[in-house]
Amino acid sequence: MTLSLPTLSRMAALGATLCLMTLPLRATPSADELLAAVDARLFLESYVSRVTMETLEPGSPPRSMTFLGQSRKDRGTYLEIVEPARTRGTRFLQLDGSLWMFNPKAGSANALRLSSRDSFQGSTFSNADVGKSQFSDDYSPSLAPDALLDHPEYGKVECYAIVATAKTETAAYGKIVIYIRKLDSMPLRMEYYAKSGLLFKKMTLSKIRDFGGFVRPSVMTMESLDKAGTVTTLTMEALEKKNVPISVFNKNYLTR
Amino acid sequence: MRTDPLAASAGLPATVLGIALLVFAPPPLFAADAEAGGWTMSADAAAGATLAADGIDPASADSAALWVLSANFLHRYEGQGWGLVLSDSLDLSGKAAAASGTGGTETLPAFAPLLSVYEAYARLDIGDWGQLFVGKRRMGLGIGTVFAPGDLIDPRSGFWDQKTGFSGIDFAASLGSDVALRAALSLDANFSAWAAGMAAKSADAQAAADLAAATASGVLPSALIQATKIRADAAYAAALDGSAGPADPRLMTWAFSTDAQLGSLQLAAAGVYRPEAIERPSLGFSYDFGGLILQAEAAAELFADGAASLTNPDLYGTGGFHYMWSDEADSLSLALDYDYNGRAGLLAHNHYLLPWISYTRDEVLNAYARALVGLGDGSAIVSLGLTFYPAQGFDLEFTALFCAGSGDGEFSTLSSLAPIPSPGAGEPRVSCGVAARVHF
Repeated sequence: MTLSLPTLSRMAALGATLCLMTLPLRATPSADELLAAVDARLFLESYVSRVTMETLEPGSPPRSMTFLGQSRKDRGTYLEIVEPARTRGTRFLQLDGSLWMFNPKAGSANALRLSSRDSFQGSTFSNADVGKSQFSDDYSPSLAPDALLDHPEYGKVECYAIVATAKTETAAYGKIVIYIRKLDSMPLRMEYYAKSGLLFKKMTLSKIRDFGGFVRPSVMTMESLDKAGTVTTLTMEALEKKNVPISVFNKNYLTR
Repeated sequence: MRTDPLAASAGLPATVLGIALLVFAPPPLFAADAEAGGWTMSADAAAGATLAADGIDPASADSAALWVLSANFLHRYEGQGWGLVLSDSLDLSGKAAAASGTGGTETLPAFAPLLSVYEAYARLDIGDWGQLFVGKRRMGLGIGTVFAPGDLIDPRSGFWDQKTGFSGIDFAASLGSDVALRAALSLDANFSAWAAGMAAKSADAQAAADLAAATASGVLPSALIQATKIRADAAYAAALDGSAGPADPRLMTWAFSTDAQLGSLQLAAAGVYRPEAIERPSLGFSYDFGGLILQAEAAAELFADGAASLTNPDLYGTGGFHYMWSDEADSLSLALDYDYNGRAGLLAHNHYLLPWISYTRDEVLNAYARALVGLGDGSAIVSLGLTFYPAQGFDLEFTALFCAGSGDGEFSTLSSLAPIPSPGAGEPRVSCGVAARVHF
């Protein structure tokens, strides 16, 4: 068997990431390595998932939604709502630079184009948060001072911190500060800044679970800082490594 | 929504069959595998009432009421490499009362069950890049989400361009994430010709039977029988639309469509062709301008006035924007489209505007307003809706539909939109409805 240069390069990157994930780090890794580790911790190359999203907002009834997802790092994300019944069957396709929604009950044959910066289905997550399958596509990282994070589940945690700054116009945020546990490179907190520089959302990652050998936080709680008390919790109920066909990431599949 | 007039005559047997299809057709065996695809169903049922009147003033208007009872179903079976889809509705609405007006009291049918099948098709995946569809299906052609000026394989059937689907075969190919190709063959005209031809032959057979009976009884009304046969032949010829028979390739409509994604820009090209009837290419684009989605599409009908003409085509086009603002539970959508209609058809004039606004507060309410405004005479069809979500899966809907503008304007009546026919001498100009809907 002959390995091509890109394959070897990819294997080397994977090896480096695995080292970051499994070994206590002896020296401060580079910002690029840390962002690669975050991507590797949160996203598989190709996987399917079942996620429930619940939003609590003062003065409004709780809103809950469950959807099935299919993702590939090199393509994008396909989502389909399975609950509640009112929106069941509505589908989303997040591709590089575009987001599409198709409601088979609407009577239109064409998918509707949405902006990736908008809120995803009334949650504190943006469309881009839900659809993106790696940060390194849109953000370039730099190191920030190490931090002692006060985590609601793990208490005081020693963390690396990186600032991921938007490098594309389509990025949903101006920058994201990511706190990564030194012990195992697990991301535990993210702070989202608007392009104006305003800190307006904060996400806490918790309940680390083993999904068939893939260990990652299963609960992500996004708190809106400009709307006090508004919180969306995204719970990864199931996640399975699976080779999702490339054809899923095309508008033809969305409207099938 | 009554989208299939051919189905309007369905009687009780059709209703029973419809209920059986809608409710019992999905084999429960598939449900166990819903996580991995399997069977999924999305459905809702509504009960309520609609009141239509021929004037804004209820005191002077003729009016008729309709009790609304309907259900919509979307069944989907998905397996590895294949799928089945059935999208249909069952309408058991009936008249609440006869209408009285200047023309006297009319006797309206009390019950008109209607089964409409919007989509019923099978999908077969071809490798990792293609899909073949057989059956009745809606297919996106072009780029327009409000109006698709190039779409003559599934042409505009109502003022809001709701697609009713076409029967035939279509094929979709995906070239990576960014390029989609679609090709389709519609056999709708062939099926229509076949159905009308059969009806004509049936009339012919009846004429022959009449002839035999008359001959046996010693009376020979030859002129009458001859006239019947001529009418049947004419109906048959008309149904075939100048073709040699229901299988004539000249009745087939072909279409292709492709779109490509280039970052924030999407480009689309499409074409529809039917021999000696349709030659319509179209081009469109959409662009995400920081959340404001701009889009435009233009089409040219090259087969105009009974002949192909590259130099004097009928032009059609649409252009506009849509924008969605959202802030957690609140979302506001705005859209404005201009529509150019190059030749009178469903729409009588050239220039139209379609403004649309919708506000949603999740789990609380949705309100919308939209209109189709004829710029030629200033008349408009206006649709308003307010839906409350008092409980999970339960909606309370209030709707209104009315004509604005002068009485001789293009949209002076709701005759093609109101769910009930003219109650008296006048045509309905306003329609209001209330309904409770359950999703399951």
